[in-house]
Amino acid sequence: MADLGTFALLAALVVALYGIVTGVLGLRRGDAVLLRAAHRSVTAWAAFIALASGALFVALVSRDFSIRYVAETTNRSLPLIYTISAFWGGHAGSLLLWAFVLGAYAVAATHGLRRAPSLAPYVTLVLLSTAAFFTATLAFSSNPFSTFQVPPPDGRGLNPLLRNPWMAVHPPALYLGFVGMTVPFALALASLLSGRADQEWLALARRWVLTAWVFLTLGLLFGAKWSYVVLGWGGYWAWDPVENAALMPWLTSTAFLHSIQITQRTGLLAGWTTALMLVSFALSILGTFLTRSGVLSSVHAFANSTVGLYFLIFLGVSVLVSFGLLLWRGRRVPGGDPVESVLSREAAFLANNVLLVVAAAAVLFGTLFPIFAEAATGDRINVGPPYFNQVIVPIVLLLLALMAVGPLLSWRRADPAELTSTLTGPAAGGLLVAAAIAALGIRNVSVLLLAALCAFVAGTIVLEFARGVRLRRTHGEALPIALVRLVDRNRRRYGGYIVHFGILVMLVGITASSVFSTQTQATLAQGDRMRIGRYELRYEDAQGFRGPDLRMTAARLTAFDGVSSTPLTPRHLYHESQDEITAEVAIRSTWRDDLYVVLIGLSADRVATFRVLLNPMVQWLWTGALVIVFGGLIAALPARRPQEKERPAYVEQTAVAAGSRIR
Amino acid sequence: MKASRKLALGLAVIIVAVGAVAYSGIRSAAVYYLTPTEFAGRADLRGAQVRLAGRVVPGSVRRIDGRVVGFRITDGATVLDVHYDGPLPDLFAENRDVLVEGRLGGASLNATRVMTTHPTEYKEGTPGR
Repeated sequence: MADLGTFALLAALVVALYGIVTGVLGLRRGDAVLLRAAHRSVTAWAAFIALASGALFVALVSRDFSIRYVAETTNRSLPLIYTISAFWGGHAGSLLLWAFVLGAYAVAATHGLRRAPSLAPYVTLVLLSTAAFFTATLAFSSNPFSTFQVPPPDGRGLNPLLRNPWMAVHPPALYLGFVGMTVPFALALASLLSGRADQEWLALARRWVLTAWVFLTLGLLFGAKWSYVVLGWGGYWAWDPVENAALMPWLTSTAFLHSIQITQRTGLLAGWTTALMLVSFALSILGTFLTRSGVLSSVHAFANSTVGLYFLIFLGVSVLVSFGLLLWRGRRVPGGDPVESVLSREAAFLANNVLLVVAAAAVLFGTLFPIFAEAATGDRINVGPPYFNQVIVPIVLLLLALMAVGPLLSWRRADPAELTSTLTGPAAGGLLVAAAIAALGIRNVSVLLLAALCAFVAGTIVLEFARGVRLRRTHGEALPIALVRLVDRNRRRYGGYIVHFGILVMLVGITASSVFSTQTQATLAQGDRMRIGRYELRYEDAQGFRGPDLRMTAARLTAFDGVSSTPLTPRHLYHESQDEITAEVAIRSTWRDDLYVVLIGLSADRVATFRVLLNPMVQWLWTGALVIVFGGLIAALPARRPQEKERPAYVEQTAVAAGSRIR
Repeated sequence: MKASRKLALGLAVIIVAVGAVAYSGIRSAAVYYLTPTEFAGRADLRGAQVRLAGRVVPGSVRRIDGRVVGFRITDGATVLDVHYDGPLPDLFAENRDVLVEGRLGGASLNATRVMTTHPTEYKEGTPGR
């Protein structure tokens, strides 16, 4: 398997380089035969990468410990599911996953490009260049097929913390997001390279970006869930550089998904929209670089890893080339008239864009600051959550305000009087909600502002749905049918509203759980009771179990909330082959709060120490994220009817606006 | 004033404000990451928020009513006393590697947070063949 895998990687590299050469020559000479050869080598490259991936898969499943990667990430007692997920449980394998995902995307993209023959050769070139980089890194720096002279009898096994269903799905989802930025990036570069600089690429890129964005959202969700159920600290987001790495491209691609609407409707900001795409790709590469190079643990660790250097060079070259092209060719991108009024949809989108990009920049600054500080002064420092919270909270509040007003503004120039009359209801609702929360005794200004704004936005979203449904009802449609058809006929618009609604639900969960979480620690003998919030906990007993390669201690508790009782079983797992202890948290999750119990210690006489947290409304966070994904999928679906396809500026309004106040 | 001017001005104000918040925030949120030995040699960090990595010295854990109130950590060369009264991570034990965060008070570190170090999510790059 090792030879097959290495062969496949080298063959993939040769094919990618061959494709680049034929592509460049084909473009220079205008030779269709050479261009076809380049086009085909994308598929051939993907096939060789798939072969390499298959080889690693077989090696893992057959537990071929002569391969270093297999021996380092699996062992004989590892269950099959985690033997498979060990594919991306280590460094080299996850790079191979990156390449595999790129292969799948690249094949889909090049086949879908028959409609855009002028862009296709350039897209092929950019995809193949990225492919060549990853293949070279795999073949020469992080080969997953490197072997031992003498194979060990058993492997080291997967890091126990990674043996969790959420960690099995987190890296693939995240990579589907990161890698998904490559295709629209290639389209953006192709548009610049081809010198056509029209908006054809935008129409093609939107659904790619949306797909990548949905996967990034899922990747972030799975990662947060993993952190919450596995790490046992009671939180789900720590502003860890690895988390920030995935958040930054999410922020900039969110900005792109908004600015593309201005550019497509009005032709404005074409250069800016292109720049957002280039930045999103660069940040995806940076994200992979940050998690892969070791630069985060220390600048010195980075200096010793060749893979970091590969990434840094690739990142530098792609940023220089893409932004150089934008500056050089971007001038030909047709501009458009400047914003006509501050009170217009364009202005709101622009403000949203600036806020999202500033948020990404602030996160980037906080994430990279320790690296530069260490390089400059030798001091190793950590930038903690207070920095990020301090910067992000005001930005989130401003974005919420825009989210309420923006979608109701008409393009070019909104009528202030009309806007005021539309917004009065939702704004009053927001104030009412804030007053109600204040009446409960909560005086935290950020919380009150956030609650008011969330209710405000929710009000405007409900209003938008109500208007649309009412209009359809006048044509005699029943309520549920009118609702479904409303969304179905305007997928971009209402998909977007659903995403906005999901953001609200998620923000409510994040705020409640981070501001109002309580925790306590208690040492209990069997039969003892303790209280936290509305719960009373009784410690029943503890038991030990032995499994293969595993010793488990489980404490049984019963939680009463006055109405019903729930059994809870937090556990301690001792992994013999790694000499590593992990905790398995017990969680009783309801809409109101999460009761989160961690077993900390157990003495010989079965006196147990528990850490117990009561985290309000965590479920809202997960649910909100799923609503976001759902809305994103609706918006990503192909337009249903031909007249819903991308139309020139100001046409759609007349169709939608019959029943809405947008002129 | 033209609309685009007004908009640019408003956005510039936002950018400057966020920049100011970021600049002041990064200074107060910066936590120095050191070993006890390095910390002992840095007089300039006496009052700063620091995060020290060390191993819990066996037999050093002080308890009141079974509740941990302090312990000592070491990096093999320097031993440092830690005052701490708060929730401990689940894997806290003697001889475990921990991270303590806090400020120096007298000869002891007044810790506000204690974390166990867990293996990083991903390993370092494996050397080539």
